[in-house]
Amino acid sequence: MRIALKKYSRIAGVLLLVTGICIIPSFVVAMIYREQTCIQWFGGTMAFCLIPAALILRFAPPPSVRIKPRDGYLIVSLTWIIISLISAVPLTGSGAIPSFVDAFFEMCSGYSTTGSTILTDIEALPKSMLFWRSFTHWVGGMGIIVLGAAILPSLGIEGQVIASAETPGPTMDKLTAHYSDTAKRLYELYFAFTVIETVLLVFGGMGLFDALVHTFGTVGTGGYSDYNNGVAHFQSPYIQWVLILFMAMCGTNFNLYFGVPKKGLKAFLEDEECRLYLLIMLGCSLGIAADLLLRGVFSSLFESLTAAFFHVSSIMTTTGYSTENYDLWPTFSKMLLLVVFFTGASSSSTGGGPKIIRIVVAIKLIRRNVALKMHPHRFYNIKVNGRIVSQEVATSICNFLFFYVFVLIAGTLIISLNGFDLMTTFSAALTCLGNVGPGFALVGPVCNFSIFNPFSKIVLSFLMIAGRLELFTFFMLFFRRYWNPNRY
Amino acid sequence: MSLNRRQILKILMIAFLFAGTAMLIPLLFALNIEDHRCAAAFGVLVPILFAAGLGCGYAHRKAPTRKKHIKPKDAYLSIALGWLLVLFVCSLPYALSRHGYTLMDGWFESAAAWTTTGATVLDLRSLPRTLLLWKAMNSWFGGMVLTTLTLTLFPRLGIAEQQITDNDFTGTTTGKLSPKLSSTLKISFALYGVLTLISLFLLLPSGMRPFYAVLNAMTCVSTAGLIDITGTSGAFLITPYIKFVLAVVALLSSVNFLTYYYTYRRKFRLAREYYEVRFYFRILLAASLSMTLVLYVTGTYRTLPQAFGNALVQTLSFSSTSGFVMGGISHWPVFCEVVLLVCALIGGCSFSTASGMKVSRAMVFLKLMTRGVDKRIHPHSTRAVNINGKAVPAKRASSITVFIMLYILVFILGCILMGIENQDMETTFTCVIASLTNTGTGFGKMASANYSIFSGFGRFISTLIMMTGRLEIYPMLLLLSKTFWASDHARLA
Repeated sequence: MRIALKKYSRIAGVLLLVTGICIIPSFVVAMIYREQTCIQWFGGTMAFCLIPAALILRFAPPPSVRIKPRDGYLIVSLTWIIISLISAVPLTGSGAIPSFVDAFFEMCSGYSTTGSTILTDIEALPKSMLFWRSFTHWVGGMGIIVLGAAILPSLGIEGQVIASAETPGPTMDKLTAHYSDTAKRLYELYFAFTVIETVLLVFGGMGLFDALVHTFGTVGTGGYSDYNNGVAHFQSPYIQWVLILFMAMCGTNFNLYFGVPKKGLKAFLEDEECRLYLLIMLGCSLGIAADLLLRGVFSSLFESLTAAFFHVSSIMTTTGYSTENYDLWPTFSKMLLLVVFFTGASSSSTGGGPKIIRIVVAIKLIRRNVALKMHPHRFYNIKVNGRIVSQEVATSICNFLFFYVFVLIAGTLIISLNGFDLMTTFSAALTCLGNVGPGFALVGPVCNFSIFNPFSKIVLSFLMIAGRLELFTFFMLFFRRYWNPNRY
Repeated sequence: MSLNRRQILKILMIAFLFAGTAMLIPLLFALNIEDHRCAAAFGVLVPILFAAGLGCGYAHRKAPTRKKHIKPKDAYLSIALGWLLVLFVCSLPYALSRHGYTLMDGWFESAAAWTTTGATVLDLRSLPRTLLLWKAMNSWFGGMVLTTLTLTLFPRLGIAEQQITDNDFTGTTTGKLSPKLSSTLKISFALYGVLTLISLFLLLPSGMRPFYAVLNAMTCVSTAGLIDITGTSGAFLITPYIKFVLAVVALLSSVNFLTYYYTYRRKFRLAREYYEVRFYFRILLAASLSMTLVLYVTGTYRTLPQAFGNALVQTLSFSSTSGFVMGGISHWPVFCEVVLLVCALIGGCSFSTASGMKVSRAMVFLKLMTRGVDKRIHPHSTRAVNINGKAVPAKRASSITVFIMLYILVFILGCILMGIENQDMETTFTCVIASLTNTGTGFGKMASANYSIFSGFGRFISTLIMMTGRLEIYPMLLLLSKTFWASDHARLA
């Protein structure tokens, strides 16, 4: 217990501090719009976070015990759950979302950048609460721990060790020698995206508040909007294409952007993952556009292209905005959408899902195996971007994909106890696990998750966090071996 | 790319002669019941097939004998070609019998039968009895051929993922066929025959007419499913006894045949402790118990035994990929639907007539997952995947991994292609699962294993999916791969 206290107290302090800081913008928004109860609850929660944080950071000694990767899993999982719990307090307290389970679901959905909502009337919420919901996307998109490491490099948490449990994708590229520098650069880029998109959206006729909300939803690949009918509210192709562009950009591996000054656009095209990402996006969009046009859902080519690109990029990057009720589209289109539900975005992006890099490796493994069937003694290495993928990494990628399928099926089974039809159940589990947002049938783009009972909502909330933390980080805690690790 | 022409001619000869011989039975039957149109169709086909077979045999004799042993490439091509040819030939009677069926109908019926899917696009109630017999026979042949393929040829081709640990039955030698092959074949034929007889004897006292008892014995042993002709004259009612028999037959034919072999060889301990069968029982138990609970709690059935009985029968129906439906499962809670679909995907044991992904692969799937967790806790640990106390060779484990990924890939591709048919999502989904696992029964509009809602395109695609699933994916996939058609000679890069 003493060791645990030594190990974790400082980290807890840092995380409380981060949570407290995250509330500040919403607090300011509440002040601007003069929303009394919201000011009180934001202020209260902020104090609840910041005062213990200050005390801990002032008095707790720096950790004398090294933090192992194994501790990282526990820290990260707990962080995400606790921060969601704390963040749900203002929502319930101010009466915006009366049920705490609902508020917890909403916040898990926010931080994990899922964008599923239990709200039936979004526009009825106070402005500051709307802002708070969307702001969690922005924080969750790049990662809470990464944020901690970026703004507080000197606090002595071993960022790299912990953050590897939080960063999407099987590998983490080291851009700089110190992890805190990497985190800082990532956040600088993230910030730049945010500013540019907001400006572009305002230029397209959005109000500043709407622009900010949709920017948070886009760059974090979350998908919360402040209107009941989402992006469709604006009726503007310009805004849709800006969103398509930024969704696609934020679903790309962020590390590639650092190569742009040197290599230009080749930085993206040289990368195998990025190539497949763009290829799938393009292929599915064109397929859907053709289907929509041929079956007469839209009459003009431009409309169907816009709708196809918008929804493919929205779902593939796991954002989850929608302008049309794609649940009414032909089945072929829906199946193509389902494919991008499964692939997810690129590694080291803000998107979720199984990540394209894993699909790349899986495809190469399949090709390798087919070749080996013909020539059993052939020597065959798998290479991605010219580098050999070790057997170890390939195995772990397969493990991940299997685990994903397993959790998806298990989740579907548990949710099915709620008694909704197959597509609703399956797509609810899929969309939460992949952090997309909307699903099909009763959880389709014009519906919401309020139909589920509290038990299912909690299960779905955990699925979202597990999906955001790439499964193992979260589910590892449920294995006995994790808790008595020194015996074998 | 040089193919073993001799080998292909031999396969063609066997296929033609086999089909020709098999058609003698429906021919005699048709003559007996004086169904002249069917008799004419079979009567025309038999001599043609025999002539073609003998022609191929003659060419086979004449062909140069350059190669001594069979290469993987030749074997794969033979399997795929042989299947396509047999399926095509067997679809001809439907079209030629002038009962108003098209060649596409025939193709679907024969593919569904041969892959032991048991689906149909026709109204089986109005199907002439000769053709019904022919369909049942095709299913029976399909089950037999597949069992022998998995026992003999697949292990030697390296589609040995089903066979995790080595055993003395199939052997593990690759390359040429070992002398043990013929004895293996004999035993597997005998087993299959005995199982058919058992199910026939069980079905006879059920009040079914003997003709239908024979048909259903053949389709059930091959896990194609029940030929449902309720509502016609001479039909049978589905009594609890029939349910019981069907469940028993489904169980018998989906259990690993090795256990029978061990029992026959008086190695009772090996038979009892066979890991795959034990795991299979655990799956069946878990699935049926959880469904019982849900069925009882939701009030679908009033008593627990009733709920358990129905849950168990349905679990066996889907696990063995037979896909017979005892009425009412479309009104079952969604939970049961998901459980049944998972059961179908896992399928039966390897070396059985059941299809699906196979239990042994599912075991490795689970083991690999927990190993992944271990790896993350102890990044430098070196633990093999252990099944039954023995380590699975890394190569085989990775081969199984790829197979499972391929299975998922084929499933997704199938969904996209079937999506063009524009049926609702649930129907499309479960249709692809039903085709890929050769269960034949899905949910939504697919609850009666009737594919007639689809147009010709969808029917054709689903037959392709059925074949891919039944032939363990590789033979169909390899035909599409570049390596297959590339030159035999090693390239100097």
